[in-house]
Amino acid sequence: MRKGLIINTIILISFLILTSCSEEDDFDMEQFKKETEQRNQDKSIEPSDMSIFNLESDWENQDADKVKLSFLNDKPTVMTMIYTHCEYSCPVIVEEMKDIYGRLGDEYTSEVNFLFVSIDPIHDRPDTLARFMKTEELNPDHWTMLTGTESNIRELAAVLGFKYKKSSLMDYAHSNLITLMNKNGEIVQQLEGFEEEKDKFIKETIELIKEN
Amino acid sequence: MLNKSIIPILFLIFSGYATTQSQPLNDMNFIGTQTKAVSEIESDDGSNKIKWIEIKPGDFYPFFADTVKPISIDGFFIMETQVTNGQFLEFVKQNKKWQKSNVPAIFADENYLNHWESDTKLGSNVNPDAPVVLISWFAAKAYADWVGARLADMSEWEYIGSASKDKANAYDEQSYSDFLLKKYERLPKLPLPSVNEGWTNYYGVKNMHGLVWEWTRDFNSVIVSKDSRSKTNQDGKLFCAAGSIGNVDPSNYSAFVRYSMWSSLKGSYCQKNVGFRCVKD
Repeated sequence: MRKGLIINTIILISFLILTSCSEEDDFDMEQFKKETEQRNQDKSIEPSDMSIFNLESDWENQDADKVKLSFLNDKPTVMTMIYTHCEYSCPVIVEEMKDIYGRLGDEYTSEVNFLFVSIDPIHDRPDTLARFMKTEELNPDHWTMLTGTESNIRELAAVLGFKYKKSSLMDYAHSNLITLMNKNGEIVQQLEGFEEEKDKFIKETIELIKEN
Repeated sequence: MLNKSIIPILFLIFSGYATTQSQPLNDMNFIGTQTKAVSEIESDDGSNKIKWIEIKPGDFYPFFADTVKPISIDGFFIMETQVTNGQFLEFVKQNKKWQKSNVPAIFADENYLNHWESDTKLGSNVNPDAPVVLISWFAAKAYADWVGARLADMSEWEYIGSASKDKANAYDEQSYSDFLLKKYERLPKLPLPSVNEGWTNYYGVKNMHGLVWEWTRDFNSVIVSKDSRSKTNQDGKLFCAAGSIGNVDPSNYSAFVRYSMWSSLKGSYCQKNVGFRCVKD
């Protein structure tokens, strides 16, 4: 009986303290609610465990706009790494990308980001990328090209499992690797070498679009 | 009444909020301590001290050279020893993102630091002076950034690695080659010895070979075909200009072993026998 009374008193006192606090700090409460809302929003864009958006590196696109990789978070992305003055397999990779683009057809192409990331930060500046897109007739509504620092490129390559090496003053040896990511930046499928797996790759891309 | 019952709940939420809110503050602190840590590293106190050894510029022929011309190496500074558990512990204490329960899986596989007792404790089985292993390339890179340094390029690493105890470039000496292969045959198992034990090379750098393998900045530039027995065609299919690495020096077998090791790694791999050291310009 007495115990109950004590507990009741404690509860009453704490209520009083809390009430008085809340009266004094009304403004803070409002502020707090706002901040909580803000915080929840921030949380929703926090990248998942296997997302390449965990890379916080800065990149420049063909319009010299500064972007982070998370700009790709609206749609699935088909991406690869090349350098624009490559005369060996890059033109083939570009054709591969265009082929995937073409085979997705009008119905789906606007639902996918197509991305080229340059591995040559010295020669591929934004204006080079813009010229390349014009020559290759890549519609900037669907296609993006990025250039970055050597260190950021190396890091993205490490995430993708893309290997490359400067083989002479102008040229690189590199993987032929096309990557499909979902809109969370998670790698879904990779096309290494050419042909064999492409039908599956395109099928998977369409599935991602439908999920989106 | 309804309001009053909400208040304690809000209070609870708020205290939770306050704790999370303090994190950015911690980060700010860590920027402060970070600069401090770097200067401490260069001065001579504390367990976190790093000794840098100056390397003068020079030319050398890496075994993976594409041309007959030597590669010229700019001068740089290299850590005398591999990064230790103790040093890496200091880093993860101040960079929560790199503690094993926080690191995103894309940056480190499930083996990351799994010999440590917890996020911020080595435990009694781990020697603080042993080289840190079970760390990914991304983690090594982050550590290097943190101390204001970077990982060595493979060519820089090979340049230092070609030094025997008493000669700057000993790769062409049979005795050195034998010495290395013997070391590779008997790489130590966990628990690893201290980084200060072992041998010192011509430059004064310790254990370039024989303790644990080391990450390099451009480890992912080693391009070999999926099956290295199949020459040419497969390469040509998977890689652009892949033929260019065909002309490596086959007599340098120890370098070939390292090359294969690097080519087998992925950035997120955490291996029991791969650690790192840093260089700076």
